[in-house]
Amino acid sequence: MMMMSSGASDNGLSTPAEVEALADQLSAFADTLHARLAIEAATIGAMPATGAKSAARARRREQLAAMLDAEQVLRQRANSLYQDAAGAVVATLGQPQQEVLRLTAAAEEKIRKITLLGDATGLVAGLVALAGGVLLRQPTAVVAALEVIRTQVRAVKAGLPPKK
Amino acid sequence: MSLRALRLYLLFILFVITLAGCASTPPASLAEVRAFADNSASLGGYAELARRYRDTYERERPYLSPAADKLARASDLRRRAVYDDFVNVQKAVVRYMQTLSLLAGDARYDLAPRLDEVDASLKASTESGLGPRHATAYIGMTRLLTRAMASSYQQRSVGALVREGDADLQTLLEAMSTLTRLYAKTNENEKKTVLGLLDVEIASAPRGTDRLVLVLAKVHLQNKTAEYKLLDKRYELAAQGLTKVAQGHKKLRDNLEHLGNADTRAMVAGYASDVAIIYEGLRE
Repeated sequence: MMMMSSGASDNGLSTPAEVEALADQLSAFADTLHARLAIEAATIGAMPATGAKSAARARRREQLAAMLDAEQVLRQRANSLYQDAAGAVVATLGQPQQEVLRLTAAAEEKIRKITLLGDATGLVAGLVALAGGVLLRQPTAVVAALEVIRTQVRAVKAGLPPKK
Repeated sequence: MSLRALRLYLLFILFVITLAGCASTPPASLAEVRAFADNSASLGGYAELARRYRDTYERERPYLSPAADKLARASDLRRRAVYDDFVNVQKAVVRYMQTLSLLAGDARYDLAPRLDEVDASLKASTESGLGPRHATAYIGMTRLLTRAMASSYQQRSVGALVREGDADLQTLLEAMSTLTRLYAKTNENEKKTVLGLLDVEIASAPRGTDRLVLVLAKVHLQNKTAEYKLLDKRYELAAQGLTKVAQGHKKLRDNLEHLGNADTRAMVAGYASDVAIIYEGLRE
């Protein structure tokens, strides 16, 4: 379990998971409250808006509004705690994030080197041709192979990082 | 052809056959690794859900009581302050996957265009006795040689990245899963705040309430219910996608030694397609 970095939260809990669990409880309270509210709302909806019971109806509707307000506040508190937990999780990620980016940069450098390998291919081919030309005592083949080699050596050099 | 040249030629053919023999266990294709990395890099839906989380207050604001609104505004400021940090986690993972895809890609190792250049210059010298068969054989041998070089370099590079990157990548993916879960829970409270208010107000409305107002309220409730229902599925799919990416990378890391193995390739391909299917669902 990841430790919450100091100052990441003022809720007194030590881990994002604990903070999240508390927020879950608040959300569950809000759900229970809402179930009661829904029953009450249906009862009020069935009461006559005029006549002798209208005052009682108005009073119950006010109470209902106050409870709905309480439910909303509970949900806001819960969401604020979810925010605490999320912030604490992200606060622990600096090091792994840097490491992934460093590895990625190193891999990108490798990809660049693979391009060099492509240049080297021509060089290999040139050397093979040169060897063939020499073995077969074919001066034109040797000259052609030398030209290939010269070109490829230039290409490989061009792909190398500048000397420091 | 002189005897000497013939002997050399036969020797050369033997050499080519030997090389071909070495390469007869073909270099493991990294196509599956590439597909997995490509599909994982999209991290479907994650960015959208992060944005939605950031903008929670904008949506819930009209429904809030003054007391709830005060708390919501404070949360809003904090959410906006950390949004970039949340997105940066995702960016690091996406960049990693894109690099893995490039590293495992075939294009880098397709050396044919370069070989063709050499081919042409060799062909030019055929008139002088270096027979076309020789030229073709040279090219063939060079191809084998460079493929063996490039392939082993590529395999080692992919292996090194996956091996060294796995632990930290897992940490980031796990954090993204946690964030997605917290986004979903926050969304759940937003949903219940919005739908709950409409629900209670409609149910408790006095009989004399303007019919038009009631109808509009009910239609609004229907629309909002449908909207949130679709979203629930997105949070679920995003979480599933992250889990698959994490599992797939872990399996890849565990099987680096047998990447060419048919079972490993099928397994990696399986993860690649699972991730693609999940993210396809997110695009709907």
